[in-house]
Amino acid sequence: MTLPAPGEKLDEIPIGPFDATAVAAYARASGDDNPIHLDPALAASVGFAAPPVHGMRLMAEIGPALAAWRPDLAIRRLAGAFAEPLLVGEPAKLAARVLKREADSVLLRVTIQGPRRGPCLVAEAVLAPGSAAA
Amino acid sequence: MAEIAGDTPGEFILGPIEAAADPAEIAAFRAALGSTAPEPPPTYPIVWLARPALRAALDRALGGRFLPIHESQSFDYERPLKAGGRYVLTGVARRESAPDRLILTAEAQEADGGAMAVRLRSVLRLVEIAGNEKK
Repeated sequence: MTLPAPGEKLDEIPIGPFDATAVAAYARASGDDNPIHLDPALAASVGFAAPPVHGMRLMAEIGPALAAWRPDLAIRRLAGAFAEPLLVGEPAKLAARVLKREADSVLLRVTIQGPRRGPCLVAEAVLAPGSAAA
Repeated sequence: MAEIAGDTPGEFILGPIEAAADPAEIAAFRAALGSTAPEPPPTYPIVWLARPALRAALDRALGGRFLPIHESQSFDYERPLKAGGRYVLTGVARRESAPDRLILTAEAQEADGGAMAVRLRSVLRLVEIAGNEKK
């Protein structure tokens, strides 16, 4: 098996838009019922036109995207910083690129970009041969 | 759960708490993601941070006037999570100021044998919202 080479990219994947029902479903399933994601009035009070989608809901798009790209590789590390919000109703795109290849693993930079200038999520994933680690 | 103040001011030891990878919970989590994959999603362990025992401890660490904003999250996987598996979660929550943050590091080990399964790190920015209940 050949590990992907630095510079190799995934095709961009459309993400969302997530509606209030989808956000509420994620809140129930994850236990993250932070009202900022569920209460439009609270979101408005801190300057959002609509509630922001959970950052973890966005991060959850990475696993399936990488598994579809290279089902022979498993995630050993997934780490991300949440920057710009993605609000309910807004579309986004997931992009990923291999940054580094080691003897038995690769490091990818993954971004989820919404309609604002900056990304919603900047993440790194380390993949290695094997079955799913989680 | 056990929860005691750490040696460092602003640091709280969390757990150990039981953290089963409940098949029904995994199925609900997968459904909320629209996932059809059979294994637990990589981000599934985040549900453990919402366990009542852990949340109660975090709430005590935070006090009552903050809206937590998730700034970053990491997972380091040592071995596959098993649906139906039993894990033990332990961690440390550290409060930082300027800016006000809570940094949670935790690890889940298999309840039988103690093998490390996954390490988590969460950074929460704490925004004071007068008149609103926090998370």
